[in-house]
Amino acid sequence: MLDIKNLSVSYGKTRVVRNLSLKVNTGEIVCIVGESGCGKSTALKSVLMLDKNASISGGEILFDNKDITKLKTEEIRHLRGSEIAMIFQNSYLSMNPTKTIGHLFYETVKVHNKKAKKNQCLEKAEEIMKKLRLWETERIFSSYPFELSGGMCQRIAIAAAMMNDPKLILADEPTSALDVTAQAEVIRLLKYVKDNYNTSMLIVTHNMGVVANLSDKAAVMYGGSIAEFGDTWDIINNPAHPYTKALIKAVPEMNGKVPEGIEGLPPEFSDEKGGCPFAPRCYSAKDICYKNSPEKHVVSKEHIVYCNFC
Amino acid sequence: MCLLKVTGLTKTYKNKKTNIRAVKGIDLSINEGECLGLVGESGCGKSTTAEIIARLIKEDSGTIVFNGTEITDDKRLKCVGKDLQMVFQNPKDSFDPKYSLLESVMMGACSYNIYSKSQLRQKALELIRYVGLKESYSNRNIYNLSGGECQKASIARALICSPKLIIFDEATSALDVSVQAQIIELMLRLKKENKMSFLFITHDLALASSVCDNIAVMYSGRIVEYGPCRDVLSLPKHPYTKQLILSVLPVKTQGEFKTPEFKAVRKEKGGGCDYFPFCPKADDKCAALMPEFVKHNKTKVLCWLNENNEV
Repeated sequence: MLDIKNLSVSYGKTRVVRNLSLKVNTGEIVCIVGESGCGKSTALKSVLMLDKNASISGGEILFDNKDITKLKTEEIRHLRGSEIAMIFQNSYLSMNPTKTIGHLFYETVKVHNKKAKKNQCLEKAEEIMKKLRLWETERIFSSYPFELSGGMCQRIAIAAAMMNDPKLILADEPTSALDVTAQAEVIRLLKYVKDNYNTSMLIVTHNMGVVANLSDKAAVMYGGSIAEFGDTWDIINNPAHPYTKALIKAVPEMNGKVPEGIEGLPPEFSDEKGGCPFAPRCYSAKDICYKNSPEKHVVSKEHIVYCNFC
Repeated sequence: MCLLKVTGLTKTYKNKKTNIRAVKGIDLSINEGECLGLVGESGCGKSTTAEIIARLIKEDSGTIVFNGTEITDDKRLKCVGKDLQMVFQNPKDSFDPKYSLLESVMMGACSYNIYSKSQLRQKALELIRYVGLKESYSNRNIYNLSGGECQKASIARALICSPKLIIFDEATSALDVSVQAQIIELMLRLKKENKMSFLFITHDLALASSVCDNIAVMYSGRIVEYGPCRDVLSLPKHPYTKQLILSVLPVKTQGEFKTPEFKAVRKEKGGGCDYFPFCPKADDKCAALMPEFVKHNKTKVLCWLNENNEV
């Protein structure tokens, strides 16, 4: 479905995403996980060319065998919201505060199909919302985004993303702004969408709980490139990369144990050195890690690690 | 020794059309060197409670005794400021963007006259190191720091006048796990070395379990369960606490994960328990009468169903 090959994205001269390769198959949820500032959002946004300041300096993004990087602006605009839908972290900020939610649903369809009728759109929206267990549709359609809670807006964003039956949904931290109960509900919805519409998803998050409970595959990102990629259970139960291990240890648990932080700070992008980006914080780093870029190791089928000592 | 004691706190936000009862009567206490976690969903009144205790907004009724003095009068700010500090959710918004890191940290003590100028500067540098920031950052603008670094800076600012109690209002919610863990480590160190007390507001139960001694679960402006952290989280008594614990996404489980199911019961609201419309076990009594606290060992629970140890 989506095949990212050797993608590099730069802001001016700084390379933020470095030779990223990632595959999303049909009906599969892939999560990108990593610390703030590791380039995961930039990578996600570049799929739809949403960031004007970022430029793609290498590689290709194949969606249905078409290279998105070579499409014209018009063609990309046609993809947005119809074949590839996007869900943002703060959905209510991405909605027009002067228009009602009903209008939002109408507009989502109208952009791609000028002949769309408002009644039909709302009927379809209602149908989707009923399936997603959002009740009180009448009230929701007539209210403005700021009148609804954050969790509600996020669920509406998922419903709106489904309006044009997209093949792929991109979600940027869809649950990070929500509390636990709303988070669980959004996870349930995304799973429901995947199971019933066979939609693929690429989700960016820093929450390991979301990764564990939602995704089929997980990609751990560090310093702009992939550190580990594979089946979610494989990655969580048998992490191979030192960074993945540290990241899993840092997740707080309900048993009162103190989570362990990772010493040091994430790398800065301005000075691009050779070698493994994680080396300065890695407990098992040796001289070779600072010199050579880590090599690709295959742990098992579909479980890849970029580390010299795995 | 009891450091903070809050009794019968209420607050209503008045609007032209509606009155929102954000806090409907809260009792809590924090001893010296203790950390109390206040957990609950968004909109349950956690932050309002914190802001009242920090004297940022005024309560409608109730008393707050902090460090032996009642601080509910109008003259309160002076006695609070030095000993009670607050760390906010979005650290960048709580700093003046014009100043450097060092100046910002120093500013925490500027209105109390505790240090001389050189002392203040030295203390600030010391704290910047203590919270885990590089000293070379001290002349950087706050704007150029990352979210986690900024949060550490705001802890340094809170520490500069050596307070007795720090309120963390969702201070870790915007940070990613590894930075979160660093902040937790810092809090535990402060608790151990300086006997500092914390009011830790969060919606992350797992995080609360790693740092809090006691925990108070809030729902719709009331505390529904209050007791030692371990007891509350391992043996929750209130149906809401159970639901809340169920919705934490586990990371390390074997096999298929079951997404928590929410039974959308939604009965008509009666005059009784706030949680009644969503409670799977509610009966007629819950609809009619407001429950009272029932004690179980060290935990107290606001629920009728617990009267005979039914739950």
